[in-house]
Amino acid sequence: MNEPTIIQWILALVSIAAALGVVFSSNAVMSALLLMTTLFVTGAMYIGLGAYFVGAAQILIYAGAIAVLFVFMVMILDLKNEQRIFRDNAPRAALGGLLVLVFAGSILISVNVAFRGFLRDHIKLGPVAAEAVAGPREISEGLISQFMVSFQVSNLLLLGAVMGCVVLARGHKKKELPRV
Amino acid sequence: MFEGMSSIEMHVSLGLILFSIGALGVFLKRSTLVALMCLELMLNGVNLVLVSFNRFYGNVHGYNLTLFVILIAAAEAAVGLSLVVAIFRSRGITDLDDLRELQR
Repeated sequence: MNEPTIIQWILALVSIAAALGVVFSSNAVMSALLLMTTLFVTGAMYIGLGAYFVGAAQILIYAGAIAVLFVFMVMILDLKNEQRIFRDNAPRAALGGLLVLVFAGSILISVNVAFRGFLRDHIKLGPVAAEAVAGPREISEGLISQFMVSFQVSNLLLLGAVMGCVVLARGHKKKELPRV
Repeated sequence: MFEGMSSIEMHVSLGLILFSIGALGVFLKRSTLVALMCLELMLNGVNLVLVSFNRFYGNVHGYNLTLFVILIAAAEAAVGLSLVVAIFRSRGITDLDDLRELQR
């Protein structure tokens, strides 16, 4: 549990490489397929961490529905290979990139310090706490008892999203009203 | 830096790195569709941090929250993609440099 295994290192490197490919690729189909790769490999990491249901849900929903929807969109919009893949206004882009690097670097350093410092005793967990069984039963027990309100509100959110998609995809046709 | 690294720390750092790569992509990419893809990358990074921190606990609350995030990301991706379709239908382009104004 303490040291990451070689498989986890390999999965981590593959996901970073695929994420970099999403950003730096000039072909939109390649970006969509590399996004599917990243999501799939992250689902594999969840299963390796012991989150079996969340890993299955990630592969089903994220890699199996959302990423496929992105591939559909790329095919529908029929985007060509782009020569310029980044936006203009280079000074603002450089500032944004610098800010992201500073933000990420500072949090990485503080995570490193925390895990070597005051969290070092928390990491050595007993088998009961470290292996919280995370099958569908345990997760649904929380969903229908403690997180019931969030569950119902998210259902309403999905209903609203479906209605919004129907309205947006319907188009804008002016209907002639019948003359009475 | 890599010696004595625990598995949780590696996954938290990886989630942060994926989030940063997605943030760079949202900020820098010209195509709206690829910017939405990088948005999904950001949400994926946050989910990885949630799942890996849940190892500290004996309950599954982190996994429940992750499921809610996945659900909301699905709804948001659907609506965002139909927005892209509507913009493409009315303007013919999806370049973020040219989509500057709400009205023509």
